[in-house]
Amino acid sequence: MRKFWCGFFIFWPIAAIIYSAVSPQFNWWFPGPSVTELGQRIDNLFYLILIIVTAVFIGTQVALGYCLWRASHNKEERAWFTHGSHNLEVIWSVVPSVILLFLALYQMDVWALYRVQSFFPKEAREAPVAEVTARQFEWRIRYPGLDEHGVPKKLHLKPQPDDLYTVNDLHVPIGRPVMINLRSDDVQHSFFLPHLRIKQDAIPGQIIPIWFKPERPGNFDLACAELCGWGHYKMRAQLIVEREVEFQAYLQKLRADQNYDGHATPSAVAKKDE
Amino acid sequence: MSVRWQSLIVGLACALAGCGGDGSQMRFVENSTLAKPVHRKARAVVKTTLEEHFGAPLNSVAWLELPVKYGRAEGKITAIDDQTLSVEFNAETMDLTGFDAAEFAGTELLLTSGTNQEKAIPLASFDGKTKTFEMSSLAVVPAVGDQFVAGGNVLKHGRKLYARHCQHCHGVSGDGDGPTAKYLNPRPRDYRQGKFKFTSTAGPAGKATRDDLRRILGQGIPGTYMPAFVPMLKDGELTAIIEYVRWLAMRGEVEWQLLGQFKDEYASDRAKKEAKESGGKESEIEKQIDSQLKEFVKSGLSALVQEVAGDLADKWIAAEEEGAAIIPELARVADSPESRKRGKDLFYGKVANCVNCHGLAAKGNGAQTEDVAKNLRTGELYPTPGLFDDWDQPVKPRDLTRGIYRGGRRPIDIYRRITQGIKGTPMPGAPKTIKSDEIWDLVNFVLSIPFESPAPKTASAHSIAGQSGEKGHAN
Amino acid sequence: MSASGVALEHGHDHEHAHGAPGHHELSFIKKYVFSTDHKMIGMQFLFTTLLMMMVGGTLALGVRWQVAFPWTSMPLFGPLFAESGGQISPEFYTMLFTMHATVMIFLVIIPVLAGAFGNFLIPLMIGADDMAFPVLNMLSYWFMIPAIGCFALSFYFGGAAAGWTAYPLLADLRAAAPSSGSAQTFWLMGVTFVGVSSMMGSVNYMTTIINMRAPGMTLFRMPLTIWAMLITAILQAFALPVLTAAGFMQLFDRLDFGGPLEGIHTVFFIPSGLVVNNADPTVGGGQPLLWQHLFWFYSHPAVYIMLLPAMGMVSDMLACMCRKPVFGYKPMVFSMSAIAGLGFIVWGHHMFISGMNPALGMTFMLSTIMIALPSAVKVFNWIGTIWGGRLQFNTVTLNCAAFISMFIVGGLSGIFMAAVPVDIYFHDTYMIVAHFHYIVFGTTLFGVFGAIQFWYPKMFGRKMDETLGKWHFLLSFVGFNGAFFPMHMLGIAGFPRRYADPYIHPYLEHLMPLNQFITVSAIIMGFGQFFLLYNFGTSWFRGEKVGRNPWGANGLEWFAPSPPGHGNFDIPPVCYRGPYEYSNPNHPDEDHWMQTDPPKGKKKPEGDAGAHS
Repeated sequence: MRKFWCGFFIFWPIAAIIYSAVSPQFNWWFPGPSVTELGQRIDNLFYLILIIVTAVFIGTQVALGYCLWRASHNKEERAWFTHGSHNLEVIWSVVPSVILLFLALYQMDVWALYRVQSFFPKEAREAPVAEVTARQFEWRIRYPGLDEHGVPKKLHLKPQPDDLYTVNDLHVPIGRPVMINLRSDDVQHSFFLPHLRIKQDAIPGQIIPIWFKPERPGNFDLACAELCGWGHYKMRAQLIVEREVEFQAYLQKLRADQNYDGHATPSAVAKKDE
Repeated sequence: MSVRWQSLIVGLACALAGCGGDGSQMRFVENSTLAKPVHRKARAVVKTTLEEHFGAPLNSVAWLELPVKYGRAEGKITAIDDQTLSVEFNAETMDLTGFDAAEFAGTELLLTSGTNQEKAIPLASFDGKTKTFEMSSLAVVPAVGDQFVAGGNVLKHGRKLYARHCQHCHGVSGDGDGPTAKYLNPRPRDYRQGKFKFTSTAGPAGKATRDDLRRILGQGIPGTYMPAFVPMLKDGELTAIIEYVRWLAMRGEVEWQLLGQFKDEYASDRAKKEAKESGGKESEIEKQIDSQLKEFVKSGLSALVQEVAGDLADKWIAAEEEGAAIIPELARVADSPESRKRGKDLFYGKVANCVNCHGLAAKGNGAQTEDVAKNLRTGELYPTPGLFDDWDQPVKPRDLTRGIYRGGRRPIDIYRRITQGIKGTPMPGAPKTIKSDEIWDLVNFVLSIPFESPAPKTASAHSIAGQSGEKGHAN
Repeated sequence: MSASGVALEHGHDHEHAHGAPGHHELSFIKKYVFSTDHKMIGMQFLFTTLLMMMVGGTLALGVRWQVAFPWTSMPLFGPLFAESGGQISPEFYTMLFTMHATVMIFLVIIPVLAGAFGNFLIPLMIGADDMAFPVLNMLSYWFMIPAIGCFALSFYFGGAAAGWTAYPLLADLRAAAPSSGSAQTFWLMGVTFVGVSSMMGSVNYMTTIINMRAPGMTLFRMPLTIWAMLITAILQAFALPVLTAAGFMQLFDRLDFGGPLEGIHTVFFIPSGLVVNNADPTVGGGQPLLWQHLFWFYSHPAVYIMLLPAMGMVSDMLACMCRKPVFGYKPMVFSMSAIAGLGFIVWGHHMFISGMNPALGMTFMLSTIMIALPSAVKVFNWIGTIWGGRLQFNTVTLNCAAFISMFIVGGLSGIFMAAVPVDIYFHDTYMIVAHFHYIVFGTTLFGVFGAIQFWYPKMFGRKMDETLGKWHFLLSFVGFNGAFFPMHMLGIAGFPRRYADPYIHPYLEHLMPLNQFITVSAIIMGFGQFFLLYNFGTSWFRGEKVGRNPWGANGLEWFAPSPPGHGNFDIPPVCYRGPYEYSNPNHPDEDHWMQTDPPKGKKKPEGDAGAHS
């Protein structure tokens, strides 16, 4: 029975490691490589921690299993009488603390880039692309109106008469830093773009800027990550990353749709708007 | 001890298996508010009629009288060769893009014309290239030229999606009384009167078009808990849900109308009342009612059902016809201060009289909301002041300063709301005397309210320009 | 092994002879219901928490069922929803996981550690005849009952459904959460009652431990369990008032009596201009983040309240089972103190992405990552304790080993969350769920399972069944890891918490089979708990009778009769040495050296002599 139980405590970490190692094959892993460079850096930090953690996991579990084995097969009449070792305590306090401190300090710049406004790219900070308002249970999106040349105006904090609205459908241009103003209409929500490794809570009464620079076109998921009521899971939306031209065309189409009066062609509407 | 453990394991397994059913108990809830005054035997007749023509949630019946697309594909049989049917799909057959031919396997092909009308043929496979079905039995032999619907059964697909996404608010039978409903304001729509608020068709009797339903499903209704279901649902899924909702609405309306027909003649207290009046025995009169009802079921019921369904079908078909959607006579009048001013005069004027409900400040608190309204169907006064809709739920006129428009914010949406009203609510259509261009003025004014909120109190503060929209929904 | 136990068996006949008070017969009510005896109170806590564990477990299985087989008819719950074919509604699901967490945290983990074992062990281990304030102690149990009542009322009104964290405004605005009406209000009151109960306990524990130690029991001769209980009590005493205050603030925000009474209508957490459920826009000026700060200022230390006592108990059990002193006794004490101290300045790591000042994110990352250090020291010390020991694989050992093994996983997965950038991605995903279940279930509950087996003889004078205990351990361990290890992968895949139907999101569609595996594992684990209940119940009558010291342990509690009578000790204990003198070469007769054994040359205490005469 001793052998069984020692084997048991050695077997389970092995099973866990094997399981973790095959997980990417079964797609039980990140939803694809990150669409942003910053997200890629987050992934890299994850892998760095993963390597350290795996090493420690193996080390400690093996040590535990081995100690259990040794102790349960102890041929001595009595256990080894010791109250501990000062040197060992120092070693296993200092070594982990150095590693941990390194981990903490190494992460700072990614966090600053991600979240501290003065580190945001200037062009993103100056011209937010859209305002995303979370409400139970959908994402309402407001783009600034277009001027006479079809170029987006500045996004005001307060709604303007010519603002463009969509719901659950966020389009952004590729290849340039994009800033979104996030707010909430009712309770707390969280703006979660798993493919971009972006998450930010929407706090009622606050406007929180988020920026990202998508590097790859495509249709990505936008979900809510903070419990917001019974329909929390229903808050599915899409982020569409497209070329600048397509993005502009999308805004034009949005304007035409929004001004539809049963007669006007899109261009006529555009004219009448001014 | 081992026996004890075994029995425990067996017991637990039974409990798990016994309770974890396939949901087969799911059932439609009958219309209790309207059913109550109807005699229970007449109610039973309505119930059997519904079961006959609509079936149960998990076992729906295709009633071809109604304009519902039960299957994915419709068409005509062009040739029959032993077990193989060559077919030709109708032009308006439902979206077949991205359609998996395997979806037909194991489903049924329903004949909609010919001698075997309403009979189903089980299918083994479908070949998209040659457009041929393989029948898996020869129990029913169709004829060349027979119309059919086939494939995947849209209604069943719709039922599944409805159960997943809609049912917990709108209820199994579409009565707007699912478990979540009681917490919501406004309450989820009860489809069973066949009334949908925000449609493109003429009010107040126009039905919703499929496109209207698609728009509401896709965009949600701002200011309510009806969420936007795009991109959650793909096109084909929306189609299926829309058909199911239409079917539920028709089912509810048939129920509603049949109960309405029975209400007077077979009132639940008829026996008691007559016994009192004539001094006869109650049981005697009950028997009399019974035989009278039986007689009616034999002779008049099917005609009545046909008539109700026919009427209903006509209305729903009419909604889909070209020209059913309201298109303004004129294009939008350019949005200018003058136009807004004209619109504003209309808003506060006696003809349109918007101010009566929407209030001086357009905050939805007009004089009318302080009065006790009369229930137009029962003729009684409502217990509390305020406006009520056809479902007897209190409604508030829209607060136009907040920039939230439930039926959509496009000019045409506002135009339709103003000219046709909102179905099932006290919001009336504009009088015909108001011309199209004046309506557009009103639209221009309404759309400007959140940004330049109209001055409260008297019309003396008419100079709206320059007033900033501090009270918009910005905060 | 139990030589001394046999020797002391003589004392049995003299039970009560030397006990302080407690000669007189107590009425049934006084003895078993409104008892002021710490052992009875501990037992009451234990039974209550075991019962609540079944409730919480059932709720958890309900949650798991929905995630694995969404919208299909649930076993047990299914018939409640017959009309819709057993399909639950999303707010019912929200209620399930909220109440699961509430029951497990407030009615199981916290009371089982501090309430059950704290009460039972503290006076026995320090050689006191009871707690310092017995009536307060009784009240601390009886304040649990209104708490349970409030939670039951919350169920009755539909169940709180704003998550156990009760973030405003979901929890704050009545209109925001469907069942939020009275259910959330009762929930808040329940939490407040639990707080009052814990507070009474913690004052009592601190006073008792500081003032009522037996002669010779210096602070550094206290077993680690007592150290842990002391630190826990301090944590509770300083952190709980904040939660209670926050709870009242939310209560005042919520209270709305209707009619002429109106409500209090404070707006601590309510900003202006919010439109919820089509109501008029809110008028306020409050700040929702304030709640998060206050809540986590308590609830992060609460994690250590849910962990430290188990750490202490495992250290004691491990030393006994290995017949070896705890490796690094003082470092263990210091690291526990460090965990408690740092525990007060890490609450912000729950709020990295909440929108608080990003500079705070960095500060909290540093403190959070540093809290891993004392935890690491403890793990190394436990492994060091096993090293060179003479180990016997009984249920206690197995549970302790599982405790260490699970703590390693839970601790390491915590590093991902402590690192802010990585936490951006992992926040509120199943990675978090996996992490804290490894800590509060994998670690604490395995510790508790071990402790139940270990101190059962002291409670009832009989041992629990080993075979059943091992089966229970095996099913729990396999089920637990099958259920929670794959959740790490769910987290990496970005699977958010608290989703009733995650599969409407395309990037989660393929994870359903994995979730079904998790659910089956959870059912196995839940099933395993019947072994514990059965074992616990039947051993009471059929277990092997044992003497005072069946494990050959050193602590003062093993000096008392099993079960101890009223007043605990028939012979007043005197403490001569630390609690971990196992296999001491200076004491060759036995491999353990009880704290009460007088050193050679010293006269045995009078009472002891009497017992042997």
